[in-house]
Amino acid sequence: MKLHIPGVRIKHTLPDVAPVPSLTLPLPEKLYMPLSMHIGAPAAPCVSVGEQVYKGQKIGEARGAISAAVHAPVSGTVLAIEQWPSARGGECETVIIENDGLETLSPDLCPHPECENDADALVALVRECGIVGMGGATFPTAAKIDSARGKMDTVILNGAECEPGLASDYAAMLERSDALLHGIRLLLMACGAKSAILAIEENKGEAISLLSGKLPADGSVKLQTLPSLYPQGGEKQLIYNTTGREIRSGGLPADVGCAVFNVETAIAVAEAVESGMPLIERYCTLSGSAFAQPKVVRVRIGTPVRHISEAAGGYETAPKKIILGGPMMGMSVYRTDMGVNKGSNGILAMAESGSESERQTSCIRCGRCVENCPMGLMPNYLNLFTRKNAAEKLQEYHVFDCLECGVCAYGCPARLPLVQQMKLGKARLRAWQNAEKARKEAQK
Amino acid sequence: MEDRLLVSAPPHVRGGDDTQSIMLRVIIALTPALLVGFWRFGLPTLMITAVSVGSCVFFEWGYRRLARKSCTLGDYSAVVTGLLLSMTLSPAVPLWLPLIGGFFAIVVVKQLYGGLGKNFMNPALAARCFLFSWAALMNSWVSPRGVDAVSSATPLSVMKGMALPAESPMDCFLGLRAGCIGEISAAALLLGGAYLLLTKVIRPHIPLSYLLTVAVLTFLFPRGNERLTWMLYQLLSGGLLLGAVFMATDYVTSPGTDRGRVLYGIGCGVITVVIRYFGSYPEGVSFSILIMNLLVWLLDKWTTPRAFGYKKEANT
Amino acid sequence: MNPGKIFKDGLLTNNPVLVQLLGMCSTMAITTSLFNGLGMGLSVTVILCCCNVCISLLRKLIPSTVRIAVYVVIIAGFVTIVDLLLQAFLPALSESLGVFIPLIVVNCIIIGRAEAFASRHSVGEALLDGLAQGLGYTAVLVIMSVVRELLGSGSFGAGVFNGGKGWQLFPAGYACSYLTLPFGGFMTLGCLIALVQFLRSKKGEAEK
Repeated sequence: MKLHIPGVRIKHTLPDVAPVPSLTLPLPEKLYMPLSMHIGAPAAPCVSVGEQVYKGQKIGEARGAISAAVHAPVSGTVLAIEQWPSARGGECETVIIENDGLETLSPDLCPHPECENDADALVALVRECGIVGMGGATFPTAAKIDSARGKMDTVILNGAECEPGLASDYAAMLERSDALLHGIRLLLMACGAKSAILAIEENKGEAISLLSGKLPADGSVKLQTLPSLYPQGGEKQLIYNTTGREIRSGGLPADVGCAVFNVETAIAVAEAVESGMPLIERYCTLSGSAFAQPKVVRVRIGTPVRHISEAAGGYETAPKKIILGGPMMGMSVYRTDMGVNKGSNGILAMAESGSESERQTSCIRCGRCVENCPMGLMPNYLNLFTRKNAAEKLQEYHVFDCLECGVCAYGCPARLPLVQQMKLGKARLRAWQNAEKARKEAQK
Repeated sequence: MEDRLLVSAPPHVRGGDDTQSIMLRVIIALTPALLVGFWRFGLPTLMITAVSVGSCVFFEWGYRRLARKSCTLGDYSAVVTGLLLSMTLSPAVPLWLPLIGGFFAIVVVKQLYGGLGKNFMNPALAARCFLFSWAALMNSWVSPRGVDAVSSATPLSVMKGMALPAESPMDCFLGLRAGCIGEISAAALLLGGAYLLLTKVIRPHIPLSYLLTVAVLTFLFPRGNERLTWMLYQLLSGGLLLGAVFMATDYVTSPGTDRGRVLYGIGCGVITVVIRYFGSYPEGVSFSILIMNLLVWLLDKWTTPRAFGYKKEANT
Repeated sequence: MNPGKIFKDGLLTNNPVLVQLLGMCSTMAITTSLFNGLGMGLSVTVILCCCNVCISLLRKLIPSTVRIAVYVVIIAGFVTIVDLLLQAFLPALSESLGVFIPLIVVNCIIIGRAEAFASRHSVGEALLDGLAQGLGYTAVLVIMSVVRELLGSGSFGAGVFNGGKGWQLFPAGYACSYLTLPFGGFMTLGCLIALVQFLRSKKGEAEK
């Protein structure tokens, strides 16, 4: 049976963003480089306070296989290495660099033509350049390629924009189309895959027409247009919607012969090979009702959020809420002096307080969450089982498969905090499983 | 300029519909049928509706206050219950009947089980069935104005005697027949149903499967020789359309999955026809919906959608 | 055990119907009029007292392995006596209660009290307990019958007061006839149990 993956057209308060030309902002005086801006172990600092650093110089060394190096985005002096608020929540060790404004390049940077046809060299370079998944998940790319090499036939390039109202992928595809295609070629070679699918949502017409004219003649890269639904950019949904392959619960894309890379990740890989430049810059969407006009900016990693919004023209009205990421899964922050990281694809500033002010009623069992859930779950019942702490039921109804994408809560007429309930349900089920395990061991 | 930022959990945007707006749309959708009732039966029906809505709202307010719970009048669900209840009453009932009905619907069926969303039966229908305790009052019909008769049998009670009613199908469609306040005009009910479908308040599964089941069964097993006419009368008479469009689609007491909704509609249809053919009452819509209400949790369980990533292997 | 506590237990804190939830079947079936309720309640009280006394007297002789069977035999004996007496002297009541009088044999209240109380206490205490539990049962029956008779058929005390006619308080046409059906029994009993639970929880809170 063909599974219908629903998705919702999010009618958001965010206007569609005209992606080009993206703005390049004046550089800030201080940059905050968190050493943990990827999934995995934080990088170990390899510079000391007071040291002179150059643009592109490595300042944090990857610790272990699932980790990523961190590089200085500007030239300047290391002011401090201390705990600082992080854009991923909480605090983490952060290298604070004072910008000298000279943009002196690190002498180590050079093109790496030898990586064009050497998968091992390319993976090493990707690891060295600190490239991570730039759609927001920030999984170290080298580790992803390593885990999937030889097991797959298809590389999928995610140009579906992970959340509604963002246009970072769109801008990247339009402005760096050549680098993107180069990156696709490199990733295909590194993964040992035969063909690549470039998946773009249908509302990104300019990117579709531009890229369809540039695809390589050998047919190794196919362009696939997808309806603009949320969560189209989710890994499992994207693979299913492009190839029809369904990842088993708990499985990885490699299990079905696929690997998914964000388009900006591919561009970063191409740039690392072309100029040796590590990942120090990315596209970021500024949107939300507090901004006069939504725009896409090109920012250095580590630029403080406040600097970005001020340099991009400031707010039109005072924001009540600032969100890092998209409107559906982004994190609202209470301060704006932390640096953006490798996964920061958007900064939303809301002039109105939004969903919290709305009145909640009890569940009216309308079933919209069931209709909309991209994983085919029943959030209404999961909500009930979480409230009743019915762990076995939570397991039976697959609470661990929830993506926390927020589609259920978005459409809920009763305005229930369903995502939080799912998170609580997972925690309760985990606690129950641990208790069961301990009980069984005690019996032995 | 960014001091005092609000921190909250995602998602940070919400869709347009909330409980209140959905209930409002149901009220709007009920209006045409109610207006036809007012027009055909005159002032008494207006009074019945007012008492029914008023008592539902009063008891909702009173119970929540007595039980020291939050006031839930703002979600308009009590108004919807009151309207639905009055629409299922004969225009000849005395005014104290909807008052008792409102008490039963709101306090016994809805609030004692926890209020909106927790009741396992449709409050309006359960109250209507409770009111059959006064069967003589519930089954006294008046003919709509414009038809020359003092008291009149409903088309369904005529068909119980295996005869075709005197009204033409067109009369039944427009509302020129005896019956409950809100059920007489198929046209007005369909208009309301179309509005609900267009504004996505309801999905077509329940009304369609319900009506189709009744149509198929009455077409296959007609009483008399004119299959098509018999089927048409069965569809247009009684509370079938009111039930299929407004009662069976009540969110709280219908399944949450599409497959469940289809099964639920079919179940309602089968039970309706069985009661109409073999029961002692001429009409079976209320009972069939209430009976299916009780199966909703089972239907939800049986029709749980297949979760992504749990595909059965071809060889197992 | 002091008699005050036994009576308080039987009537309220350990009421057979409202708290122990025993004997619900007859409670719901026959409480359609005060006449029935009172008759049934008193019959059960008499049987309960006799059985309790009898079982308490024999408690040291009855082997524990066959005790339930012995209880049933004793109960059946008294039930037959009461059944025959009713048929002889109150044929109307006997007619009205029908099969529910013989069914007292399997009424859980009587077996329950025999097992839980009479077989462990002295004759005097057992008699008091039978009386208290029986009156507790009768009280519930009377309350339910009055409510159901009044709301369900508009009358009060038909067959008991006013020379057997009772009083018709309002025309039967206005009465909610469903309340005289089993459905009404469930509803009334449910409300009564809820009320008692509410009062008990209030009292529990006050004691804390």
